[in-house]
Amino acid sequence: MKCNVINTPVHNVDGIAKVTGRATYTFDVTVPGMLFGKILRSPHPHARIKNIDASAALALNGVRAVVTGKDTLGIKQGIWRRYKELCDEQILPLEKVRYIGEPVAAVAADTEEIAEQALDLIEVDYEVLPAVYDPMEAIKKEAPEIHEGFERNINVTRHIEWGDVDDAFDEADYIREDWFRCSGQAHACMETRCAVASYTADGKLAVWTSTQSAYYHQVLLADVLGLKESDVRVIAKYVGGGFGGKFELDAAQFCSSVLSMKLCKPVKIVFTREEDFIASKRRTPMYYYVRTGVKKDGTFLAREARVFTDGGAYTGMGATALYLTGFFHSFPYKWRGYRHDGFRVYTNTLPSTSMRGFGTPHATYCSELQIDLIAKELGLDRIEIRRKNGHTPNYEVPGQATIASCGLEQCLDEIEKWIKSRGELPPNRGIGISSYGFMSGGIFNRFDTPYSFSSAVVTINYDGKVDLHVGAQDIGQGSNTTLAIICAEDLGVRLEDIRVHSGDTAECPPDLGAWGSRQTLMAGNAVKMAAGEAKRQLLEFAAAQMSPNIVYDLDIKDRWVHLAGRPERGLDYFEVVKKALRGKDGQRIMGRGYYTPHRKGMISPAYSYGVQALEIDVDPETGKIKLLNCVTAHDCGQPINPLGLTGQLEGAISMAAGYGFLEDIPIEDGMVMNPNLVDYKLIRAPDMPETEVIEIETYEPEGPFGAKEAGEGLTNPTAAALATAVLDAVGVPIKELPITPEKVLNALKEKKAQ
Amino acid sequence: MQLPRFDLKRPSSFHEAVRLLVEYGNAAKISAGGTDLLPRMKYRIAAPATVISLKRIPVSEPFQDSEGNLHVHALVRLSDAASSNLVRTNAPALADAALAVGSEQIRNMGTLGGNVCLEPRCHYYNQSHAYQFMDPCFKRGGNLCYLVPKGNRCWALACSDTVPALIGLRAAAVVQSGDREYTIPVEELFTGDPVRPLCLGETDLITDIVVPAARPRTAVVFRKLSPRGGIDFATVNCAVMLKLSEDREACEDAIIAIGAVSGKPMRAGQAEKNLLGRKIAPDVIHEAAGRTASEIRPSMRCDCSISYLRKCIESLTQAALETAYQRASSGDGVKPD
Ligand SMILES: Cc1cc2nc3c(=O)[nH]c(=O)nc-3n(C[C@H](O)[C@H](O)[C@H](O)COP(=O)(O)OP(=O)(O)OC[C@H]3O[C@@H](n4cnc5c(N)ncnc54)[C@H](O)[C@@H]3O)c2cc1C
Ligand code: SF4
Repeated sequence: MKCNVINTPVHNVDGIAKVTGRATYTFDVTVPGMLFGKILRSPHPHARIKNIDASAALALNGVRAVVTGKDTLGIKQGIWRRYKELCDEQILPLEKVRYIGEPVAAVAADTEEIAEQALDLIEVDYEVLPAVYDPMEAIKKEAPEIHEGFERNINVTRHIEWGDVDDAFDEADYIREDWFRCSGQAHACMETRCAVASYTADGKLAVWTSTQSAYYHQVLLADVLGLKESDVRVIAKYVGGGFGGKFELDAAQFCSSVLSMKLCKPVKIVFTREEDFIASKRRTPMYYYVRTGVKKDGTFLAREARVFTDGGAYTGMGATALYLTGFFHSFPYKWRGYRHDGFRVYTNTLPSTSMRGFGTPHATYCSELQIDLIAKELGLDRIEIRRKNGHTPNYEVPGQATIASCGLEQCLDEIEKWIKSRGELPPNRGIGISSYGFMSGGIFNRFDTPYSFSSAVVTINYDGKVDLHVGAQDIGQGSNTTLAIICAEDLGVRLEDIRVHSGDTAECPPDLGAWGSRQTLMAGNAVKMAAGEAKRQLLEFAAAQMSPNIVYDLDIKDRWVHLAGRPERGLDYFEVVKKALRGKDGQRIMGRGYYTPHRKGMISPAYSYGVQALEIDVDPETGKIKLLNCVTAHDCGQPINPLGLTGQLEGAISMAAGYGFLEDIPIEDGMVMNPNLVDYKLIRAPDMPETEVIEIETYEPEGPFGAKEAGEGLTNPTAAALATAVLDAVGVPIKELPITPEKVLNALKEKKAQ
Repeated sequence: MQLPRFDLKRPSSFHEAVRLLVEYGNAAKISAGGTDLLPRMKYRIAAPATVISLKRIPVSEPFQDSEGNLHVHALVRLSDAASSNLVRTNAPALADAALAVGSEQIRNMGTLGGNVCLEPRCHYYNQSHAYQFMDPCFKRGGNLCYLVPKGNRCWALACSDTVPALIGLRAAAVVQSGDREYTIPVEELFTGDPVRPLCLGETDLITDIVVPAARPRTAVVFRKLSPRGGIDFATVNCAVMLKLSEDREACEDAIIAIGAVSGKPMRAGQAEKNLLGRKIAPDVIHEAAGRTASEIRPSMRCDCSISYLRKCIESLTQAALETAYQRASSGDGVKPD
């Protein structure tokens, strides 16, 4: 299809506001009369709260209120609203604390300083309980019970199976089994969790907050505060990063709301960087057991995997992470028999949850490294073994998913070419590869929304300019730009004609928000439908004006309303709009669109695919890894904004490579060892490899203009590519993330000793 | 996190600063660039009632005296030290070490004197103790150590990047002590006890660093190993000095200084001695690096093992010695004879 706006590189529509410092993040929000809140947190990993005495704090000049669990409705909440047993978190707990840093009370005061001082004056009487920090310990019979009624601390189990697994293993010529360990990771958003809550005497609550889904927080807040949904307004115009960590209710949102409702005054709470590290949520650490059976020629037959995930103290999004790691561990390959058993185990550590890739970077790392080990063992070519078993268009994952578009094979071809072009590598240099795939929008409705998954409203004004209202949330990934492009393309106007409104539940239609790589496809479809509807109204009027032969249909391209077959015959778009509005008794033209997936399998309506190659250098003396080149062949269907895609790719590589060799959250007796940006090792510019993206264009019938996801899935391959690169460079498999220099050296020593 | 409240004093000379230190005693702390002090204050591990900022003290440019000694003001910003032509040509190891500190922003604020006096560091210590690791450890005046629970001392690490370089350069610190001024070799500034790391008196301040004139056939080389490209404190850092004989074959003088692995920077005395008089060759360098690694005793730490540190010390020393030999034998980076 020939596009006018789509696939032209453009800067983000909110770019100027951001780079000139005009964008108002929650950090920047001030409301007249605003107070400042601080949260008192548990110093114990597991303890019963016997008594809280806040009298001394309340006596401090400038302190306005102190709230504890007793000031709340005590509702156990969670994002899996459909499953009550998974709603297990009281943000201000009444009885027990289950991790260090868990909120126990919150203060509102005239200044942040006074609020901080007041924290020291609150006396909490705890009965300290035995605690457990590792899922493999917590699952033992004798381990302390963290939540009542969860035997062996197992929070969720997941079983995924298709085909006859045992039968398929019987046919295998070669079977390999490995244990892997995957670390946690901090979202480390530039903007820490924060909120300004303002409750007014008319019973309405407005909350400015840093969120991936304003709608989620509207509903979650209404639930726990006993308010009507429509009396809660959530505003999130600009969000300083989310990465999967900002769509559950957090303590900043909850505590500021409770305080504001008590005082009828606005209250602002901003997490410190330490609070964000110690007391928010994190990527789920996992122990992985993988057993794979193949034929001599490399045909995959069966895979069986067991995963034990460290759930931390609460469910969070962990149940979905468990399911997705199970499903995507099969990806992007065909298995005759596949069985995955997942166990999410509570521990007395900060809760784990979703994070960009959502269980898939782990699954991909274990799978791809093992595939390389199998190829090595059988003397097979590593590209060939992937090609032989890879997904193909129209493939059906039995009982789970139907794949429509799939460009995996072209991706493999491109990467193979690139590797060949690198020629013979010097010693200790290696290239790793990883295939991957991801969903384009999760179908699971754990949240139990009664609304469409995505909705959009397109309004054409008298001057021809267009207001696009979406519930989709821009968290820095550029969804407002993507959706504006889709709207402009469909309507036949220019990008600058569109004004996007998002991040405000009072003015935007509900939408599940930014997670599961869903917005381009789902919100994109809603926008396309809304734009199509508005366009149809406009064309009705234009047809009346032009009275063409009935066999012609009309179209709009680049602000020109014309006969589709005879583009020279047409009218100026702006003129048509003006007249049309008069013709509609002054009503603006309005189109509504929505999208909810039906009959699209269990997981997603569409899947992105790709292959990444990563060239590295290993220093055999110190084990240090240097990333050199990273080339990604990516099938995202029709690219919408190539510049946005590059941004997503580079961001994903920095985050995923960091996960592969730098980032970790070591926990000692429940305490986070590195709660600051010096000791927590985010990747820095000098550590980044040169990056290149090779766009593999496919057409996804379910996506708007054929588009699929191009952001989250890119996080999946890099840890795997790093591991396979180390294997290629120095011949050792590192089965534990992150791949630290010391692990590399130890493995090399072991290899030498053999 | 907010800074705690404090009283700010801004003397305009070292004399006045010392007088203020005498007046306010223990309750006062010196801030030069503040890049080490302020984060500690935010974490509440330093809570001075008075902060004496040295910002108003005029900073003189590095200069060379008539004997060729290089004088660098203690308040010179690290970025200026790194880019100063005089420093680059007369003490390239110092320029390299200054450039290896932190990030651009840190170097734009941090000073040379502050880097020399950098508080020893430890993961348990350098963080907020608002709700974890709350009981004070030895370094916070308490009676326990999180790193070595059975131990009875502190194992925090002296991480300064410039100090090993200054030791390699045989530099000295000029100290203002009351009305008196004295000079002390940089190497002798450190006690080895991370709780009271400096030998300076409580009211002493470093005003200048003096690097002796560069010698012929001599090279000093600095190397740093850290997890990332920039911002990280060293896993290990190292400076070596190598002076060659007239025929540029044998070693006439050597210093191997290793930093960031213990309570004070360490010298590999045995390895140095072993080099003296020997003809420099790959196996001799290899041997010296090996000796250094077995002689230096890295302290326990929580992010890597002692045996790993030994490997790193060996690799870093070897690389530094190789470069030093190359430069000393070619005359590159040192003043001509
Ligand atoms: C993110 C980050 C990264 C860092 N990375 C590194 C690194 O890689 N390598 C490294 O070495 N350091 C690093 N640092 C530590 C610090 O920034 C540097 O050591 C810097 O040089 C300190 O200088 P300053 O002037 O800012 O010190 P200040 O904070 O002003 O002072 C530090 C200490 O020295 C004392 N002091 C300062 N000047 C004098 C003087 N003239 N006489 C006597 N005592 C004095 C002060 O009282 C204080 O106790 C890092 C810091 C941060 C925050
Ligand atoms: S080594 Fe021990 S005593 Fe010293 S700072 Fe660290 S925890 Fe405290």
